Amino acid sequence: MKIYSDEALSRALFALAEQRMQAAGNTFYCSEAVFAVMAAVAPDHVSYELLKPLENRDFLHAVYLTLLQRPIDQAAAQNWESQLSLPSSQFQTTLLNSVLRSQEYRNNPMPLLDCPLPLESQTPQLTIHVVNNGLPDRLVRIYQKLPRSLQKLAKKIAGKE
Amino acid sequence: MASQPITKVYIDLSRLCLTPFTTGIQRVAKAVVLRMLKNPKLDVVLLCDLPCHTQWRILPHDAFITYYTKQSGSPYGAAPPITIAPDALQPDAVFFDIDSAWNMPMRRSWLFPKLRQRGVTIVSHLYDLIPVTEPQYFHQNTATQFLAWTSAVLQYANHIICNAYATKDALHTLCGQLSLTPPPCTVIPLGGDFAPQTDSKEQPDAALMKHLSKYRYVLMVGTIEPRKNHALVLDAVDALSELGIRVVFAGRIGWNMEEFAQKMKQHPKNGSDFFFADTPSDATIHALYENALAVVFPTKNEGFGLPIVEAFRHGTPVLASDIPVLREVGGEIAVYFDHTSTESLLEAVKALLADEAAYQQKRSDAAAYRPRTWDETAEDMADALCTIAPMHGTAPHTPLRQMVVLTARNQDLLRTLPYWDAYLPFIEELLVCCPSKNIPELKEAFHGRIRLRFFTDEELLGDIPLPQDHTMRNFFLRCLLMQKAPLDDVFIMTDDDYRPLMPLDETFFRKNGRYQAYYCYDLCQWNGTQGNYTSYDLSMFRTAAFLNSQHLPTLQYSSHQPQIIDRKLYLSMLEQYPDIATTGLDEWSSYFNYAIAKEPAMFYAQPYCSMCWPGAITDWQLWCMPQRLCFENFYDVLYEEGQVFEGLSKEFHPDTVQREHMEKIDRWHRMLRRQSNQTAAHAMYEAYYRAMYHTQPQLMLAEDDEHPARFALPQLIVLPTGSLVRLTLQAADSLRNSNHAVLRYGIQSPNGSPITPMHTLPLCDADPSRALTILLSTPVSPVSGMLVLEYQSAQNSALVTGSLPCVIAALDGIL
Repeated sequence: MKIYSDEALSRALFALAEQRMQAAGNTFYCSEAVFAVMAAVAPDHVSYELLKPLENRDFLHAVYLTLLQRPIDQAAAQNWESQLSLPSSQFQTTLLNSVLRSQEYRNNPMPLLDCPLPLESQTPQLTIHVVNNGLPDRLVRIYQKLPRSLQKLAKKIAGKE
Repeated sequence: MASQPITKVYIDLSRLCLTPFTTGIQRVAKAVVLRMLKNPKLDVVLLCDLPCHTQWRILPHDAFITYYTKQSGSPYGAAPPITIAPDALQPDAVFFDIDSAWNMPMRRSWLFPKLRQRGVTIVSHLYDLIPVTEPQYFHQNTATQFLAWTSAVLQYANHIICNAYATKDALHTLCGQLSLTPPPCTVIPLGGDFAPQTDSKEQPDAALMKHLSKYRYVLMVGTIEPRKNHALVLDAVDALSELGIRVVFAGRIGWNMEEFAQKMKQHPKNGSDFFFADTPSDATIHALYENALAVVFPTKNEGFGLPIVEAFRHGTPVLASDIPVLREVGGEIAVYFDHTSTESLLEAVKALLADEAAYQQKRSDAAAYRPRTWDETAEDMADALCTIAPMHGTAPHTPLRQMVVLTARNQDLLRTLPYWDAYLPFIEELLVCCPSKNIPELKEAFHGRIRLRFFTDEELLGDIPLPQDHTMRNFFLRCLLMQKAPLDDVFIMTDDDYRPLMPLDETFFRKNGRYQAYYCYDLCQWNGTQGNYTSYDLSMFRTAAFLNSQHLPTLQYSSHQPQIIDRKLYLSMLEQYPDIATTGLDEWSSYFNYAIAKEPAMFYAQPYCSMCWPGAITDWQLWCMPQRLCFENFYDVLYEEGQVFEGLSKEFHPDTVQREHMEKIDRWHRMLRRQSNQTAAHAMYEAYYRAMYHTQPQLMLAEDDEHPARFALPQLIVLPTGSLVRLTLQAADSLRNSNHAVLRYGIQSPNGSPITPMHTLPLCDADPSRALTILLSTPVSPVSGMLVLEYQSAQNSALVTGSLPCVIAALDGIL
């Protein structure tokens, strides 16, 4: 009997199902590599480490399926076709910048973590001011922007509630 | 009368609660769960996914019952939600997935490893494997989600419940194709006595029923989708019409059937010999059933076949596909035909028409059919859950009276013995494994209650050479001990400096038939003292690698407190892995992770109970808080001036020991609080950052096509004053592997003057399997500056730099 890693088992299952799809004259909309990424992704974020090793076409499909949470549409696939021959880091940077800046992504953002690529953020840079009492006003605003549950927890820890 | 043990069961009903329509699976989940809530053997906790998808809200029972029995109120209740995360589930409980878990955002590939790590028993309900065996019949989203779910179930489920033997056979076939050992599987057929859903005032479709009253018709009920094979029956309309039989489809158009819907609409006999009742009311469905010649069920594959049961409840005969699962449900009462052949269907209909007496007998048989009840199904499922994860564990109740210590330090042992003597009254014997020359002094000096027994190093080792390294030697000796020493079957293993702080009885180590196993960390996250790894650190790394290679959990059980050991399980581990004795694993973590994976019902894993581990609160970041402080991991140095236990006694004095222990516990709690406050402050910063930037603040050193090395840093970092802060730097393997690679870091003021010293870390000194740790000791006064990082791969190569704004603020200022 075999011992599988999580990824190996999901790939093996997909390969079996893909054989059956092909026998019925169909095929899956994603490759085995993309499926393995989809099976491994966390519920609340996508780690770039999962996407990074994919070749460009698979990377394109995986970004849509994980960050936008839908298969790529035909128009978008055609749009990106000409750039699939770019070096992988260039293609990945270009694609991610496009997707992360899109309104569709911003409407339902799935956080992308562990990504060292030089992605452009449209959120303004923070500037820090130190006020006389040593407590930066920015920090007060950090606290004020926290969800209420975290504010309550913070006060409880500090013994202020 | 002894109270009955109760099994705690968590059930995730996210799909039931969150989808606006009810599928067959949700009907099953509802029928079973409503009954389980009344079962006194179970303590059921109902869960529903929160929008973050990493936690649940707990559904109040009364609100749930009212909503799903009286269609009133909300299943969530009116009070603010109580939330629970997977890491907080009770370790000896069952997690029972009966809803359509493959559709849930909280992916089981993410959830199940956490539950396994926690020791929760996972039971998955398997309705069928059709999306794996015939994926072409499903929307690709559904098929891929189901595949991912199936993979998680095969990998992690402790037990599977199926509703048909055909499904169990399919599971075994699939596992055979994958060369996998199938999880244990129990077959529990579904009930069939659904409560009528008709509003008593609702009337069936009068026009349709009036038209059909003139004819005999065959009926297909259910969603029109490829697998159900409506096409076969539609193709038979003309031939059936010649027999005087009409065809009625009742249901809604399902996935990928637009073309078929057009075909139905344009059928020449639509409205005369063929009728499609689109999404009919329940009253119409009931009337259609009652008046049908027969229900036709030509499906290509099913998980159960509830339509057969529904037809029988109306006294209507069934013509069903001749496939194993339908033969299980339909038994001798249904009539079977080849679902790939229109001719076979026609022959079956002709047979019904040919003999009126036989046909009426079929109707009587159908009417006499008594389906299995949901009460029976729910009771069987409850019994299965109680058996799979008995609340009362299966650890043998052999006497627990022996403690075992490996020591070469007489003085340390003699100082600890009075504590064991006083606070562990159930221990009768201490087996001391030591050099023979140590024995006379021990015999001379100790005259307490506990009987000392000796097993010498010479007896243990014979001529076998000892490894030089401390932890390698330790593990090697323990393995030999298990094989050679006069050990009880179950005993307490300890080091010579673990002092109990209060009287403890056997239930601290074994309770309700479960060995209590105390963990303190996750081995995969143990970073050690980077740049200066101890023998202990290296042992943790080796143990993590070994456990990962065997797909075993990776909790760290070297919690620096005595723990209970089952000798047979330890020997079983050594038998399964005959070469590990010389590999320098951690003797506690290797054993407990192996044993708990092998015999989960024998154990209850929980956070540890010792103080002074870590010895200094700045030694390492706690991964979990000790749940209470029952043991002291004794360090002489902590009693010196300026240290945490200054002024307290190092020795056992019966008159003052209890008062001093309370004082020690109090002081240690204050130390723990300081660290937990820092952790909370960092969590606040991360939460803010995530809300602003939709990502975690991460420090990275990466390479790409354009830059051989480049820092990728957050926009801002916030650190507390007067603290030792640990930050993780993720670095590409190739940048770490260079022999001369060096990382420097420190905090500087905006004009470049140092706020903290610049630290230097040769990267070859950091274990390649562990993340790099940046250790910063922040000043006691608030200040802001820049966290500066520099990387150099070799002596004369270019310096790569990065920096980010760094604010150091007082915790109570932030909070």
